Amino acid sequence: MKKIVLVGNPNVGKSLIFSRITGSGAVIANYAGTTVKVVTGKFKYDDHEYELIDGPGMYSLEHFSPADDADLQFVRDSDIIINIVDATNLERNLNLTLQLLQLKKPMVVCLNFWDDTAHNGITIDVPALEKILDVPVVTVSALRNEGIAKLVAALEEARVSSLSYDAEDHWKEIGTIVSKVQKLKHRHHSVLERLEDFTLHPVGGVVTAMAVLLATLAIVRFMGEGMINGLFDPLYTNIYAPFIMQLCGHIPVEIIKGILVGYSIDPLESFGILTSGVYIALVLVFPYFISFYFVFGFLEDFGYLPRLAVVLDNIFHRLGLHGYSSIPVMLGLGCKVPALLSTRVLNSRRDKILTTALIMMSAPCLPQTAMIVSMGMNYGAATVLFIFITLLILSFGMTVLINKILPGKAMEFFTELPSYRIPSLKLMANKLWIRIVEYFAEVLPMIAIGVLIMNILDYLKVIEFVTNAIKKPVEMVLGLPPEIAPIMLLGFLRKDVSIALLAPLNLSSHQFIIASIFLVLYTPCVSAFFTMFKELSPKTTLKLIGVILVAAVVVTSVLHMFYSLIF
Amino acid sequence: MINLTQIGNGRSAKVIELNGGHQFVGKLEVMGVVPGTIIIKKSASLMKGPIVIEKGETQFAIGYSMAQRIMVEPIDED
Repeated sequence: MKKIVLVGNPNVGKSLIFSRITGSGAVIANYAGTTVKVVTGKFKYDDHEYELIDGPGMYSLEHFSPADDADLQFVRDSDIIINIVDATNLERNLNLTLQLLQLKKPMVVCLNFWDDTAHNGITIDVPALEKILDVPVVTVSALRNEGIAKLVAALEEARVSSLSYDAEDHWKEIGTIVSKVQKLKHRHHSVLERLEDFTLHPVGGVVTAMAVLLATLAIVRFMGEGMINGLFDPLYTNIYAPFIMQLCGHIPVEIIKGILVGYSIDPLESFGILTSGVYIALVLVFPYFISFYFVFGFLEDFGYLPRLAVVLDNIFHRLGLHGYSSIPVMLGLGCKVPALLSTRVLNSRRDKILTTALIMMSAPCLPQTAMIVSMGMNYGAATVLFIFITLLILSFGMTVLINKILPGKAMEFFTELPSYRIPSLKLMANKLWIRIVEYFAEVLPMIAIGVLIMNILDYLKVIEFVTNAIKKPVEMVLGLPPEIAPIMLLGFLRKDVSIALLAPLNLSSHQFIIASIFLVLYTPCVSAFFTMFKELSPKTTLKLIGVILVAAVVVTSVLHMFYSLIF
Repeated sequence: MINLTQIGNGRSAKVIELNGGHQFVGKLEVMGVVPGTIIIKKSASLMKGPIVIEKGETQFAIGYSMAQRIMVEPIDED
């Protein structure tokens, strides 16, 4: 089966072209033996089957980081290269095109966003370009689903280019080609282009950022809670749980039954994989996870995120990070799991660690935030504000501190600003589907393992032991009643419920502040814990959690002392 | 010679020199910014924030210190 590979700059529409050619059924995986994530699919043309591989976008075949040469293995292994070019950005895209031609593999050039060239006053003489490049050039509009059939048909004509030039004159050559085939006509700024400028403007940008953030949180909360209350929870409580309990009720071996369905009806106390595990993974975390990626996917495909990074870069620079880290941190306001997964785009380990610290400490996830706000309002708005401001100041301080301790320097800020484009629903749906598959393949097993470990610890009476052991220290150091100890352990499974369980304890406002801050910081929830494990090394994860725990204990005990002395 | 942060917003300039190592030059090169080319400084953020550059149809943003190392010659508006 012939291997066809899609290669092009970032933001040229490779993913959409990929799905237009292959339909559904794409698989993401690391390319054989490398750390490069590629999407693989199959398609049929003229009775032949082909394998289509879509790799990460790249500006050039050269490496500017100490990365492996293995990054290009999937290109080297291919039989035919389809070079996807953004027709509205010909000059810059040709850089990669010329480099690819030198690989001397059969190639086809695809000019995507062809429909936009007319709007932008760009005319490209395609036959002339074909003659110069010496490979077929096909014009396509992936968004409008035009030209895809032509593109696939052109694969038969794919050829090795005989274009040659002096490598020294690489950019001169590009300039010459562009001047021969492209004509630009002056035109007025479109609405989207004006929006691009507005969202970058020092004032307009900040206003937009805040509006986008609030809108995102509102939409995610609405969608998340809607899915939980309207679909997943009823599904679990009314259909799944009775079914599973009946099924496993017949299991004679007590231990196995315990591991599978736990020891209680309440899914949060049973610790069974099929009860707690499924409940946490599907009812609690999944709706927020998917809602976030829905909104995030739109912002990403629209092209807004790099501009957000520019606007926020100032603040983040003072923390030793740069604007790009703002995206994971923002995600973390909703749910820590997608936030941690998104740190993958950060290139340096240093950035990842600092961003993770900021994600975990700056604010709780949305369910926990909502709970703190609703419970905290009973004590007054000042109490609620105090909690969140303390968390923010603490997280900034800790990030600055970790920044000083970690060796190395922050990376230079550098990002392309793609044009704003209304995304295609098909592309958004495809990306969402990939996330869903990722969730079930990666996140769900982790939650299951976490629940299993809790189960075993509970069975071995370890949980009981630890609960009793910490009662006294908690009372002395934090000034909280001993009933809080089991709540702390529960918080590992579900953070928002741990806040709700404070209600019967009748805490004073000071105690509530201390308890809330501690319950936000002391540990990630089970899903976030294992996601951190995967994204950073286990050692780094434990160190980071340890540091944050220490900070939590220090801050809360200081607050306790302060309150005891003054009041 | 002046650097990019020293010209006004919206001005065009010709790139004279790139003062940096392999990574620095490489990142700019893939955007089409090499000595001899003409770029537009679209905007600068407050307080030494990122600078937005336009080269042809491509727009991108770079850190302030990076912009300080791009030596340019402003082009007079006509």
